[in-house]
Amino acid sequence: MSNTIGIIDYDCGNIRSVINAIEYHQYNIKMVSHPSQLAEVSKIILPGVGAFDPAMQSLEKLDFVEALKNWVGIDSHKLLGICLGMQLLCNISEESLEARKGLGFIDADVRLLTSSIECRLPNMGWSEVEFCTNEWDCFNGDYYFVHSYGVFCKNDSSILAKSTYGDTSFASGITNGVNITGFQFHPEKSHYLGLSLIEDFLKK
Amino acid sequence: MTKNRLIAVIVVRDGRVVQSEKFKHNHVIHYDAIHAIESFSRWNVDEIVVLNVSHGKETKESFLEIIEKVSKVCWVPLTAGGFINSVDYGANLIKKGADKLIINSSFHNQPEIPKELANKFGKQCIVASIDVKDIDDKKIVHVDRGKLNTNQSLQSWVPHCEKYGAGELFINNIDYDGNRGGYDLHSLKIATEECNLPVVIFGGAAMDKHFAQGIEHGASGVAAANIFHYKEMATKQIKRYLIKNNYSVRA
Repeated sequence: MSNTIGIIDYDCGNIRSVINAIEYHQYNIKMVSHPSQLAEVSKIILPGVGAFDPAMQSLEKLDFVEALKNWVGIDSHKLLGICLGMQLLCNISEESLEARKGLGFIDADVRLLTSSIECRLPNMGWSEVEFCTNEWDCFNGDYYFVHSYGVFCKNDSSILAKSTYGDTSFASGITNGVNITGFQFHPEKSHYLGLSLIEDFLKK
Repeated sequence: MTKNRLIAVIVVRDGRVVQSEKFKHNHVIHYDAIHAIESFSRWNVDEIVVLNVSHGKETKESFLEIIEKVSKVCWVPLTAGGFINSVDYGANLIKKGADKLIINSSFHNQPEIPKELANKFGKQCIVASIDVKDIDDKKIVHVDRGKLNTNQSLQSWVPHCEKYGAGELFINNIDYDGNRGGYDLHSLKIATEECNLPVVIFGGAAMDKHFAQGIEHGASGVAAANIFHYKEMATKQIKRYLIKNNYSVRA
């Protein structure tokens, strides 16, 4: 069981790259497409590309919202959100046209980054990540980002890593301090640094 | 701050990596696309674009297999394109491991296709490939591998692509393709002025300074194909040059 990693399959974009990175480290994968399957894994990745509303809507429709809340209530369960998957862990997002709520696992809001001639949106490319944690075996350096919205934490203790876009500093990593983590960048597409970060999650 | 990207383009015809010169693809460089991509993924490239330029549509299926294999050795973003003339085929490329789709003719023939793919996967997944030709001092957009003149100016085409789902632009000038004289910086300037999307410039880069010029003129990414194949570890050398000259790129 510990060698099996769950990936929440809620029809939200590209999960092949996440699967490839996990398989590279020789772990097994369990696609979790129904809340009843949550019980079969103790580590889960919540991937996600696309927009906040359809993603949340899809989680709601598949009854994942309550089920995930219960699942993360057990401290030994580890949840990792990537990109949009990280933004879903927050309270609200400016991207939501319907003022839809996020999972609310971490006290943070998601806001549109400022665009300009120099700071084009989406923010697409490699950007520096500065970690503020001893909990992860990780390295400061360049990781691959693709996003237009950034996460802003209410408390500094939720910030696991920081990055900037233009003049704006945003949280590129967030944590609840126990068992929930989110990364704005794509570790599965961030070469060796990213692969080693994923390995660290798999070993936790 | 986000760094400028060095992008390797791998042009595939019938499963083989070929050289591109004015959109002709008759010269085979590598017989194995996987090997080329594995090397690039190791050699500091920030992103890899794989284009299927085969003549026959029947290569669509085998190209899916190539993308599936390539994605298992590619630890940087992978963009795939060629013959994306249905939503299903685009979705299949993503399912096989493409992170982004690069689309050209469909923005002209069936713009609802990129639009629908953008709705499904997010516009950051959709790269609009725009090929221009210089005609009477204007940049005129051509599709269908440069064979069909749309009579549209680059100025009008950029907002059109943005409207139909593009999250990034990939600009090439057919006459600059493979000519080793540097990028079409004028087209780059037009594209960056007409939108706030990231713009990648492609076609004609052969020397270190060409890549610097692309960045200097506002490109988020500078792309090349042929040069990376002919010089061992050319990508590392270009990165060293850019870093030495204080450009913001990933070491």
